[in-house]
Amino acid sequence: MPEVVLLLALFFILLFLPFVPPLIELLLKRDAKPIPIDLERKKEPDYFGKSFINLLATALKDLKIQEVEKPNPVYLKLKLNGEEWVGFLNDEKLAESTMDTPVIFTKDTVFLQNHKFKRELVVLGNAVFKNTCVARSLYVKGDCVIEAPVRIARWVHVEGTLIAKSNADLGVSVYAREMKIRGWTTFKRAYAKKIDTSDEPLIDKENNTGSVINLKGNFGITGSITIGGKERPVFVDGDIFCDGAAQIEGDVWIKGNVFSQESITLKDGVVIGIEGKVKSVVARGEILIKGPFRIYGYIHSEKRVEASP
Amino acid sequence: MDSKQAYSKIFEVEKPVVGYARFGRVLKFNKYLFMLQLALLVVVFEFLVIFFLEDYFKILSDITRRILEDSYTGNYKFLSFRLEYSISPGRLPTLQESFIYLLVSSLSLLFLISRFNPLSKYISAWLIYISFVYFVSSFYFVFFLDSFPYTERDFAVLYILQQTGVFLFIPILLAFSLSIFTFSWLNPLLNAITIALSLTYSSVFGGLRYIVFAYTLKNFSYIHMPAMFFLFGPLLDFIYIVSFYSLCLYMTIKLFQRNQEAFYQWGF
Amino acid sequence: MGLLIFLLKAYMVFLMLVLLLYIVRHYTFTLNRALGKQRLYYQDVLDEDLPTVSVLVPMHNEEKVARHILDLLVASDYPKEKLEIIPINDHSTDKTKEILEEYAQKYPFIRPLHRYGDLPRGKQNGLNDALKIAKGEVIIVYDADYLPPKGQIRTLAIAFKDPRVGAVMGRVVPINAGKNLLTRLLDIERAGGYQVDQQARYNLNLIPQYGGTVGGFRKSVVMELGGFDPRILAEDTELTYKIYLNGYKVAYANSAECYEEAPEDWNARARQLRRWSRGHNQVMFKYFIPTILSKNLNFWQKIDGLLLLAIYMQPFLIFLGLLDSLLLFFLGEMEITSSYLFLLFMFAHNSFGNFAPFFEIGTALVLDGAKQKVFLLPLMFFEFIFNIIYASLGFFDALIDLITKRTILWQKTERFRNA
Repeated sequence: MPEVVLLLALFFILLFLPFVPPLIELLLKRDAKPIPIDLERKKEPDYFGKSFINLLATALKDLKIQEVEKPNPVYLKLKLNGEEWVGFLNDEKLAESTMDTPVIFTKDTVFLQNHKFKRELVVLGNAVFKNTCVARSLYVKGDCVIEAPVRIARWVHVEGTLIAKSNADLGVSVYAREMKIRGWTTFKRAYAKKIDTSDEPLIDKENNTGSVINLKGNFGITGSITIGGKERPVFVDGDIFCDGAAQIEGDVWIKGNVFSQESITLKDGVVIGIEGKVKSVVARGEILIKGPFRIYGYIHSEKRVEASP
Repeated sequence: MDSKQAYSKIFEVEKPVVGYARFGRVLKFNKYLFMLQLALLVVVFEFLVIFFLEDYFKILSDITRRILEDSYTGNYKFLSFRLEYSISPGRLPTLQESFIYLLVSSLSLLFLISRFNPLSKYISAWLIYISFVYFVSSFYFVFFLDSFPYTERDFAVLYILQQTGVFLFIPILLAFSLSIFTFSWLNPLLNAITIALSLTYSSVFGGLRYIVFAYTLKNFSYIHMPAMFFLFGPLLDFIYIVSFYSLCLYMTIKLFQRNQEAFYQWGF
Repeated sequence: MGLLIFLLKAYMVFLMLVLLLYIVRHYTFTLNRALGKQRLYYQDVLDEDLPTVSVLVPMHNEEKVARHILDLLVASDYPKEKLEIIPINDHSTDKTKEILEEYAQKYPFIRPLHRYGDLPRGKQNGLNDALKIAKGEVIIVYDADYLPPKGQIRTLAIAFKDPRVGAVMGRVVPINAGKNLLTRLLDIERAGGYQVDQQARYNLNLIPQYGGTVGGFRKSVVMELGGFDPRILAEDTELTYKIYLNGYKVAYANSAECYEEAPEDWNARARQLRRWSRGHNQVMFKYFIPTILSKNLNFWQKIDGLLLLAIYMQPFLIFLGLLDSLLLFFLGEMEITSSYLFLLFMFAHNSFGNFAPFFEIGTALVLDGAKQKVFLLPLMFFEFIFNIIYASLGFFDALIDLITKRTILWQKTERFRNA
């Protein structure tokens, strides 16, 4: 009889034992908060550069920065993400070949030497890269000209025009007022009022006297699509959304967006969007841009965008 | 392409350390590890279950014999297995007993579905279910006492079948659920430990449950038999199986939480 | 008697197969979401030519929560010249009307619709009336207790640039997750249902569901299809099927996360579950055959569509299975059932919990970065019978609705937030 009582007790213990961890969690509430949702969140193509500059401006707000005249770098301890040293330089020669801190050049700077900036590189003026350079991120207040191979790991933010004349790996996010790709360039997403690979007038600027294929409306395509404008120009007055790959080449002007669950290829004369308006090219796969090309707005790939003139 | 590769090699690559947003991240996946651990876990543990099945029921039978007075031993042939069981004679409920159970379960049901029931609805739901099973059982014994088709021997056989089903199902259920995690070679180890613990728990719990049930049938009649299958049967096994699953999940997360990149990759 | 036993056993086999089908379906979703290639949603399309949007917010006695949602909608980054907000005041007897008038005075794009008098109550009726005055090409709906982030309207509206999209759905997250046992269970179930289930259905080009809130639809399509049927409680589920059967799709936006208020009280949850089940089963009765016959759905969409339709009938089938098993037990036919009984309960559990099984929820929690939350999984046990009872009652309600064609009386979920 006592054995049965013991067994009965053991039975109930084993019955309720699996509830102990959940009951502990129910009582202690160690992981009871809902998943965090940022109520301020919105899509901003200039988010990274803007956030960094705001952070810097806030950190510098209470400090009086005199014009740096001495040929020595000035280091200030600022609160960015944490408390850290930030270098302020007025001459490229003051920078070492490898810099471990965020670096701010206070005026127009021409980079004649090879540099590796392991943190953010800021140029409060125009920037010209005449030698190889690697940086974690790049902010330029004026225009930025890349004449030598440059590699940026994270983001690029140029308030003026970004001209890439040499090979450039621009990281994840690029923001510029205007972007001219004149060398082999790669990035994941880029936003500018105009992004092009050539100065020559393309289909949106030409007088089309010949016969043109006009397509009007938004297109939803289950498979892949190829649009060739080699023989006759093609105007698409709408958006293209496709589940498969999109291959667009020749004199094709798509006035709307192009979206693909696979890859997008844009070659030899394609124009996306209308001047003065923002439109997008978005792909889950790669976006390959070759030859003359122009987009007014935004390019986004979950894999990689490769563009060459 | 060569020049691009050469170009990339010139520079050290700094991997952008950005946490993958939860809407688009997936788990790091090694398909060979997934298939290997799924196959291994199922095959190895099913083999172990089959291998020890006869021994398990033999041991259970021995323990039962020692605990329950006047128990007797029998064998059940299941496929190619001879599964031993020990059980003491049960008894049918008296009419009085059946009537009391019928009254209590009816009143419980009425109370639980009435607006005077102050209990929380999820608790009431369970009590309704328990009352309902006892209502059906007691109703049957009040009106059809002589038609009850089972003896304690039948109970033992049914329990064996049920428990065997549980043993066979645990490795399959847990292997499929846990093999998804292929972050490292530690995962198969953790998953194997989880299945082993589940089976062990099932063995002990299942054995205890059997003895308690057998004791109940002997001393408190067959009126409790439906409850044994429909209330305290496999429904309860689910609880500890999921509990071990969640424990394994927690250990997996804990082991890798220092480096989120060990878990996730981008899903597009 | 032999025939009876045969039928009872046949039903058990049928039920096992149905539940096995659901297990396979959910496991496929789990594998796809956890490991597979995800389908890209439209949130990264930046376009200045945004559609005009009308945000509808049905309200009945929502004084506790009205200000919260209106403040957040006002703060939205959607261009105000393309946005209007129409709170639908449906026979409120508290201060809802006054609050709406106050906001309408301050903001010209907030245009409340007040429904009183003989106008029939109910969300669908409110939506139908609002659709008559809404100017937007796209209609986005939020329940009054929701807290939409700044950029969410844009995230939802942009999907409609794709002409195939008829409706869009975001992800619902209970803000009061930590309140008590019920909210904690609903929190983890929502995670499974959205993070894994909905996203997988979107990835696999099946039938993600429009959920009636944190979602939107193309106004022209809904008007063309006759608006919302006031006799159907689950207007969201009905719209999903209408959309698919007419050649459109539902896009699921996993990035469009929005806080909601989950019921904190089991009575409220019971009423909610019964109502959802009733509405969903009404849709099932109406669309089961059309789904099979539809020329706009492929084979897998039909299978998924039918399984989705029957999801709130499952509890009733399981209830019948329990009765069936009991009957077989007393008829002395337990032997065959005994070995399957485990499967019955296992499958039943696996198919449960807001209709996401434990491995789906576990995977969702890992994807969400949860830690100790995973320990709560065994507590889903407590919902098992509760869900069977109230979902089965909902099924009966729908059956009676079908037979008697009775009028539906709308019932709202109680709010718990402090104003």
